[in-house]
Amino acid sequence: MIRQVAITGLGVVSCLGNEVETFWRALCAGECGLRPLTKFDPTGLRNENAGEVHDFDLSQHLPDNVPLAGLESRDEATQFALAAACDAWTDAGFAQEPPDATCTALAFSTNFGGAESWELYCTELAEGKADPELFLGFGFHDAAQHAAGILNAAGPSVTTSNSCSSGASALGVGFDLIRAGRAEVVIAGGYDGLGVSSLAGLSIMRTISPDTLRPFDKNRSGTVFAEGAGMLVLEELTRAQSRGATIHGLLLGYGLNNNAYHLTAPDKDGAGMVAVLQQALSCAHVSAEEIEYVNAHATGTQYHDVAETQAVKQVLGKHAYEIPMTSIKGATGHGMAAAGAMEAIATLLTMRDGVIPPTLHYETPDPECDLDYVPNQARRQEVTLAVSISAGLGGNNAAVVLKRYDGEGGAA
Amino acid sequence: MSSAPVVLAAVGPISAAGNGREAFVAGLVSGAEFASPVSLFDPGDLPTSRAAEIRNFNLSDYLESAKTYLDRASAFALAASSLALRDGNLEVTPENDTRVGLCFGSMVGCLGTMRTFYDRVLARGVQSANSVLFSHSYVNTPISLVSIEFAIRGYHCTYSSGLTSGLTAMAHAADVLRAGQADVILAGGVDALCQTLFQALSDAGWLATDEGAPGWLLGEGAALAVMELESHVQQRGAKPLAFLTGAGLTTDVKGTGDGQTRAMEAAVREAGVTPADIHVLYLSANGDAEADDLEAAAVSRLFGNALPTQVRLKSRLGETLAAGGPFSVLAAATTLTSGQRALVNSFDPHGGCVSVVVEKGADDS
Repeated sequence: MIRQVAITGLGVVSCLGNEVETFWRALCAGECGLRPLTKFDPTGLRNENAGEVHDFDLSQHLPDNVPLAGLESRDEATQFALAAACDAWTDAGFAQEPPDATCTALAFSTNFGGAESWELYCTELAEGKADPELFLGFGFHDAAQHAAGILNAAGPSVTTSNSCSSGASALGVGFDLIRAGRAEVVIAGGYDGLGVSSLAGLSIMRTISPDTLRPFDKNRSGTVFAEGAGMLVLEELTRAQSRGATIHGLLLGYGLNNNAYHLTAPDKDGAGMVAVLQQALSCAHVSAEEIEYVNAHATGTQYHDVAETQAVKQVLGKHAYEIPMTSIKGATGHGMAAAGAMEAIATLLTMRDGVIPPTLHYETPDPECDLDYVPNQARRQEVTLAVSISAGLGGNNAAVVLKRYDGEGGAA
Repeated sequence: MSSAPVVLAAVGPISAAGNGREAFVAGLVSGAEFASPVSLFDPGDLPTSRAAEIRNFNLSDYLESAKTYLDRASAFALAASSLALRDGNLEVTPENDTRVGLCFGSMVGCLGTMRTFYDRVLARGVQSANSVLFSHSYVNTPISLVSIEFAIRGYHCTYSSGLTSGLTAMAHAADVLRAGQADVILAGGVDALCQTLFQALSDAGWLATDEGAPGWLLGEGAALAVMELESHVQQRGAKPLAFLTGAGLTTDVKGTGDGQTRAMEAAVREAGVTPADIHVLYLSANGDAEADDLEAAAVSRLFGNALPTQVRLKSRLGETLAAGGPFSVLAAATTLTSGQRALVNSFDPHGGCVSVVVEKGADDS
């Protein structure tokens, strides 16, 4: 019998708020979290705005039995990951009744690890002598290592790094850990912090817009980056059912691939995204016609948004014109490795509440982007089956298929 | 999900022992030592001056196309991929390219390039950032370049879980194959030496010193295997080199060695054998006294007094980070004799534990 994967916990740290319901209310209200950068001097970057996390206090997220001591000195990105993981854990009801440690796994992802620690380390090196603890704090598995200790997760610990498809890819790895019987519970998602190094690189590559982030708009000119974390508790379905857990939805399947085209340029015909969508639908055993909503990667770059639109049209055919496809990045910014996980969370909440979050800053239609993007205002619409797409530098693509849980066994 | 054995059909090692299957095996069985004074950079007044470097490496020996810029890790990944594809006689075509996948582990990715990039930003400001260096600085840059070079469009994932990154990639690749997400996957690990890494680990007190303090002998390299289900191997007329029959992934949360024991137990259990059926044990041991003691105690708990032959590959190849576990898999796949089984360990000092069982088929060459 194939093991089904339920989602029983959610956690978000974002520029729209540091708890799930705050994040969701802001998304539905059409609020934008992109504001002038304060954590470092943005002079010289193409855009002085970004999606910074504000009013963050890790101690507010830790379970009662976990002391803050030592954790507050970890890199801020690591702290974002820990906070979102702890919130998801608590949401799943595990703060009171934790699962068996050996059956609990972690599937984290990050593009830049402890970016702030890396920059401090390099700065100290340039001055002559650096604290090696900073280098260790930069490590990509630092967050998972600490989460394992905090949550007593003694099962598999996997950190992936697939550029901006990382968050969705972590969900895929978590899905496999449960499917393969290697874990019963997996805390899965992505995190990243804003840093001078990453923004300098993304700025010089002209990925960053000098304007704001306008997914699918004709005058879109690039993306605006953000920081934070999105974490989900994945749980074997019958286990979740037997303990009476609140099930936010089902993860039916996923796909991961690469364009094999160019390190930085998008594949303009979207062939890689077509293939990853087909891979995800096949894994989920659902047909394209069953998809009722697409949560797009859409970063507001000229080529990507067209390629994604074409890919969805190619896979869904005429059906693509009959369903909404939105990008929340106009509101959240591009959260890098956190993006795919945040977008999966937004998709689950869409299915919970029957509300499609809008595509912000959409003013001028583009003939090449001609689907229903739900511009600027949320829309009430029931959704039971959706796909969330992610993509990233290096040609990475990912897609996850999510289903509303209506109390059934789980098969779509 | 089925627990069908996964075939290790071919290997692509870029290592201090030698590059390519034959040179790698020859280097392993030669008994030669590969540690030498570092030549890639000047270790200055650090207390450590030796590493297991890969010498005389030229990417043009493995690729026809010229490259304008590559991090050393990316160059290793490209060369190892070329070797593995050739060793497995695996041709990527438009007919199969979406069914061929890549699962690579890397602990530090393109760290040398990342440092060069950021040093320039520090010195000259963000507007002097170099876009080529930036795009070549990601942890997943090596795997992306391999995807582009060989037109591999299928399953694609980079793992960065410390020392266990590479063996995690291989264990997950086996699950992906069993789940039907790919027909064949090139899987393993890659990491390269650079001055930043060497200095950071030396300053942290992790490296063995020239004066005899214990610690890691740092190494580098790429260790990749062509992995596929037996049905696919038969379909394309290839021959199994060995089988990956079990895997165990755990975390040693409390630092007691419990995670190490559970990882080995899980791998042996999934392989459908008992500890008594293991002939060779490839240790994770890398000179870190505390970690090596934990592993030794875990091994004693599992095997009791009936210890298999133990191999400490890292004492010669060095601690090659993400490539460490995969190098042991490659060594097992190429040196076990018919019917033998090996247990391969890859343990991270921060708690990550991965073990796999490699089995040489009864009739394998």
